[in-house]
Amino acid sequence: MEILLRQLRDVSLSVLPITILVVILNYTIVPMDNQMFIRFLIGAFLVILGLGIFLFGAHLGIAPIGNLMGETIAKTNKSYFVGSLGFLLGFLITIAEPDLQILAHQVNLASGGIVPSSLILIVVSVGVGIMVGIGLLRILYEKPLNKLFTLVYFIILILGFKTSQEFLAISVDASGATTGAMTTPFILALGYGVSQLKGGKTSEEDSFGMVGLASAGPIFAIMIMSIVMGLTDIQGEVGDLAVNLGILNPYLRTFPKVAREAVVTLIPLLLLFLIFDKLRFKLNIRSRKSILKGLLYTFIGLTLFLVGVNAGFMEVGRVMGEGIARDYTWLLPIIGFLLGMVVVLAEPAVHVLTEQVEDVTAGHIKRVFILIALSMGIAFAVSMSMLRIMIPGLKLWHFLLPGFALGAFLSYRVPPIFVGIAYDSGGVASGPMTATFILAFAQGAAKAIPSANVLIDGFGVIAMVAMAPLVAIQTLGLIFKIKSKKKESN
Amino acid sequence: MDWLNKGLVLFWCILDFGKGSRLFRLSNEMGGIGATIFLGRGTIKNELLNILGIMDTRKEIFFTVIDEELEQTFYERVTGKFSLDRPSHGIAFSMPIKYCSRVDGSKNIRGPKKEGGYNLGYEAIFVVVDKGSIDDVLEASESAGSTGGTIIHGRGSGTKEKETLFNIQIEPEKEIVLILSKAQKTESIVGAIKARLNLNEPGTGIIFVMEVGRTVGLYEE
Repeated sequence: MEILLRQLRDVSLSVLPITILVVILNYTIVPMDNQMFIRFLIGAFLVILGLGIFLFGAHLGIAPIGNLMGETIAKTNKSYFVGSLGFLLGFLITIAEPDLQILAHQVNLASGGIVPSSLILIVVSVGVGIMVGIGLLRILYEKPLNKLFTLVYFIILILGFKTSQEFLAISVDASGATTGAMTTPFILALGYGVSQLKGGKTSEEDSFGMVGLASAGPIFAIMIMSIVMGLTDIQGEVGDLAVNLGILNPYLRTFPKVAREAVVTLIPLLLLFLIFDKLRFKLNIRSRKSILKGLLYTFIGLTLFLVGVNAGFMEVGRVMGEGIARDYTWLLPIIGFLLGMVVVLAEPAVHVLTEQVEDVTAGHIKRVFILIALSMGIAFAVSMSMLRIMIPGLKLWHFLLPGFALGAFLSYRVPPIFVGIAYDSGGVASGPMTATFILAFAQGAAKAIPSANVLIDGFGVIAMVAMAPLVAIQTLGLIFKIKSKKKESN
Repeated sequence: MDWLNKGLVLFWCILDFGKGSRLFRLSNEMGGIGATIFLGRGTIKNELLNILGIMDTRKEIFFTVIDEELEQTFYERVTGKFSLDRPSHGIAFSMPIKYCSRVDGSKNIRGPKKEGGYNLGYEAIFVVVDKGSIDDVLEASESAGSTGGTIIHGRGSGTKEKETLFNIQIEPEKEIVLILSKAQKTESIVGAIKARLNLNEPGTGIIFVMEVGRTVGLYEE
């Protein structure tokens, strides 16, 4: 039983900071109405419960499937197979991602039907598929990750000059949408499986970087699509937020929708597992049962988590953003800093990533190091985003360009394993918690500040959150390197 | 401390993940010479959890070479700190070793070698070095006649090296190499590895040798 208690404690410790911060804000500067506050507390409870169950599920179900597939793919040892299977896996798990379907629908509406939803879905999924394929081939051919990322982001930069601001927004959103709570652990495990089987001296650092590559896929895919189709103008709209009434009502309304989405996300993975198992893994009953149980927990956990976030957290984020921007504008960067610091701890994939880091390095890089670096990085990202919303002269690229440039520069200076962890963290940090709560906070703030643009400023936060870990984690890597150098010279 | 002519033991402890660093500190306090941890998974015997599908959990496997005289202290304090006297809180055990590089001239005094059909004359050489030195270890041992080695990835608690970040110690990555060798070759293999990696300097690594009861699958080239 100690295991369950420990899990409960770990998960509570990651969700309580954000909860306590919101409670304090409620009693000090942004009082909420009572119903909303109670809904938030219920939401926090569901998030804790859901996160705990989800992590068991990720452990028992998603990670083993990813590992097994990675090993199976690597065993073929033919670049043709590795590339095409990687592409297929990336494509299939992305196309089922509910967030992406919502995004595709919104883009379709906003473009007045010029861009069909199915086109967006396919373009983004192809983008992810290509990057997963390339990522797996990179591991087999031992190409350095830092050069690959420099190349990928250089291409994105070039394309970025040709892309309209609206499509920049969509491309970053698509990237955030594809690295969901489910796909991230899977892709992490896939890369881990391949690098484990391949072994060799670089297997440790090869265990990371796949998520980072996968989340770059949608960005250039959407950019290329918009350039080829000559799309520039699009009517930006933010989906209307339904006014929530009652305490339980929003939960009852959100639940079936979220549960359906969770099923849709899991189906491709389940089918892929069953097919691979039949043809390749040929697991014994006990292992197969355990994986299927894991997928069931993933479903339950993910549903509870997302219901809690969507029905309990999102609205609070928006109301707080609006309230603070209206009454205490100057506090926005400070509150943003604090929120960023604590919100990333409650991200599901952050747990999965940090655990994998510990496993791969045998506990040398402790999760608390990664968490502190991520916390600081996201805190700065949200804080800077708030400044940008307040000051019209500050543009997103004023932060992104130097940030990515610094990230690329650092990737040639730090131990390779930190490069992979850093780029993966970018995709991991912009998960469901940040993407709903922080996004709602930023949109709320942008709404209250007349000079801000709700659509563009909203996406800017996600892009910042994806960029910040590059600098933060690699700075951590630099510190590690300096510290271990000192030791050698003693 | 006079390590000469002392019996040495290899002290093992298996704990739930996350407790290892505390054991590192405890071991240093008690006068251990630095320890190593690698990760594994341990079974869970709990019906409810097993029905839920949770069969195992992450473990940290700790080992260190200690003076026989410290053995009792280790058992007492480790048991006290981690409640090993209660079920499913972890286990500890120890076994005699024959030689340890960190202890000058510590050719074991544990009495003559066992005679009889049981002893095939093999010994297990364990080498713990910084990550990245693994090729040197394998090359050196092969040049001295070993036929191969098995590598385990771990982390160490140097007693010398204490680098901290956010007030938490950075524990360096280590590789553990296990080489099975014919008893008469052990000395030259150990010598070759020691010379190649300068293991006489403290903080560089450790080699220890244990007797082996039986082996199968080892072939001379």
